[in-house]
Amino acid sequence: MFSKLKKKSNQSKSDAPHQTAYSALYKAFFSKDEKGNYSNPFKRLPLSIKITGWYSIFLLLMLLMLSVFILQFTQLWEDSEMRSTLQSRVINSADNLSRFRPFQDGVFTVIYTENGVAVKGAIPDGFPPESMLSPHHISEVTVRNSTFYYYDSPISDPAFHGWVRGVLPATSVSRTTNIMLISLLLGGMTFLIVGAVGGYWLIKRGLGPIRLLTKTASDIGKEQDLSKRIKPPIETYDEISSLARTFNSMLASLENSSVREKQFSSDVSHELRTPIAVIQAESDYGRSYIASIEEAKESFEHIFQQSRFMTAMVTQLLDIARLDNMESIKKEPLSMSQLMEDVAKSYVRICEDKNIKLTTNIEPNLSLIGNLPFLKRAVGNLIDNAIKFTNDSISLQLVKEDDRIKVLVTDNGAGISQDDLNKIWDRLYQVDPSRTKSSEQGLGLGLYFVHNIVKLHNAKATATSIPGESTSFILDFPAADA
Amino acid sequence: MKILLVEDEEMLNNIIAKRLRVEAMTVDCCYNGEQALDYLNTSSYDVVVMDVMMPKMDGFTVVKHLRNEGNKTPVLFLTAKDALQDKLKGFNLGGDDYLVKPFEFEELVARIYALSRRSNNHAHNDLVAGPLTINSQSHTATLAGHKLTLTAKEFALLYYLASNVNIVLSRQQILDHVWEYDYESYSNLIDVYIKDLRKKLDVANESKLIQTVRGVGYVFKVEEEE
Repeated sequence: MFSKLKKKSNQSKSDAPHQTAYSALYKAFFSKDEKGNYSNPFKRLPLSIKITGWYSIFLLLMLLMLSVFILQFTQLWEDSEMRSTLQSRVINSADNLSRFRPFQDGVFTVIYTENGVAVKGAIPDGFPPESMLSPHHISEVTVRNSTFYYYDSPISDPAFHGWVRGVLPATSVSRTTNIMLISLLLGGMTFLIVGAVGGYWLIKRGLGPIRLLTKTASDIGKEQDLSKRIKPPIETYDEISSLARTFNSMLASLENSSVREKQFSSDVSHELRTPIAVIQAESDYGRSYIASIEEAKESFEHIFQQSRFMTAMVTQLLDIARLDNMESIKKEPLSMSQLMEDVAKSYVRICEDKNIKLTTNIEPNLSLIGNLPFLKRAVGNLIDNAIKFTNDSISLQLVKEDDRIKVLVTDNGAGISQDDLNKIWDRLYQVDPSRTKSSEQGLGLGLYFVHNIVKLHNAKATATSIPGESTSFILDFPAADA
Repeated sequence: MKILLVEDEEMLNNIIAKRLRVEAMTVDCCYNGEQALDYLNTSSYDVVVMDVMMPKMDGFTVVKHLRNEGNKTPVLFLTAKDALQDKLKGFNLGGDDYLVKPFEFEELVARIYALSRRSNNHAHNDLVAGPLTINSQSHTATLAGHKLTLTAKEFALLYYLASNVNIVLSRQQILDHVWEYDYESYSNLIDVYIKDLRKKLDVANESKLIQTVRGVGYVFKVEEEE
């Protein structure tokens, strides 16, 4: 019955951001973890309770130390007080017998003759009457667990020779100490409770934003909604608010990349749908309506072209996916001059076929550290791109400026507007969305590929354009130390 | 039925046109948005099949212009854009239907018929005008129980005339609606077709269904049953 009640209260509060200490404790000790085991409950205690626990222990230790110190001090003080009372009582009586009182201020006083016979006064029960004289200092005698302090002083009255003895039972001494002890205990307990509860409340308040942070983070995880943000505590610049800000900026960058990813997959799906639509339409028409072999051949030609286009696209996509997952590539010193010559050679025929004049200006003996096949692909992609957009000439240059090696691919095509220049390195970006020349037009992946290769080489890729005249693509590599 | 097909991918444009012509539809093809607007301003169509991503002017913009001018021609968007917000945009701008590439021809054709049915306020694909019943999907025309044998063009002409019962149609209107945009017409082309059509409609001793209105054009006349 009790456990049921407990569970209920736990459930009803588990969702509330401000769960009580009790339910948190209950959760830590009586509920199972994700794997269904009872793990070490101390590991699962909320931070606020842990902190409260630790400083309560610390507080308790401090209080104990303080109590011991105070008690010790009180005892010492009491002791000296008692000694002076005892001495002054005895000396007072000895000086003037008329001031003699058998019992005053907790001190029992007795007058002895020189022979040691008690004449007047009282001694406390249990005090051994045959105790040695102690005229110079206070002596201590213990009989059956009762301690007595006593002191003797000669009577200065010329008419009477004898001693005055004062006895003080130790039990009366510790009474004050006992009161002290009890008040310390009570005060300490109150102090500890107030400290623990107040501290817990303060810590909970202080850690509140962290709980909010956790809740937002888990909400985002559950709903997959990256547009959510954590509300940082207003106008504060403490650790928690800076944590919230860090968290938010991380979310923003995550959201950004997820939006770009979505855009990319939507673009890819669009690019793939068009050739599939042609293939499907051609074959659908063909199986029902084609009458002549010529018509069928034309239809197959279309299907073939579209599937080639799709193959090219899929290959490029896979290349890019591989490159995206690569953080570093194998690099070794290579002759960039040689590489450029080779690439230029392989494009001579293609350019001749298309009546494009290919001019090269390659500085010899320039080398850098890089990956040969990737760099070849990058330069090749730039030339492919130039062939697509050039009017009738392409120039290929390799120059060294200071300690940088620059590859320049320039065409004399229509140029690219300033707005578009910023976007050309994006995936699937095409200046003109027209696909009327589908065999000629690229997929918009070529330059993105170049961009990624260049990034893996710690180099920069830039483009400049004079609309109507020319466009230059520049790859800027650090030179290898020869 | 006359269709305007706007699609920038040449191969796809050709094959869709071929397939629609099998349905005896008259198809005008154009390859970008600006061209589509020109066609729509000069000729009238039963249905427009429109791509979205095109050079010069995209399909959404074309439809926006079209609707701003008060043109109510049904538009079917045929596009690779499959996102919900694209579909919503298409419908909100005044599109009547949306089909995502790749598509099945049968579905495209069925949707085109559905659009034309809706814009003509017909309950089904049979068009009844007096003694004449025309089924556009099966390309059959029946006159008082006799099945007519018609060429594709004759069928299209009869369909256009019969869907405008008792309305006088000029030769230009007929040309716009039945013949393709870039058709090289000669002066008495329509007259020749009308003559042939009248001959074929002569099977039953019906009163003259297609009448000549001197100086204006032709009319499909059906006596009102009082």
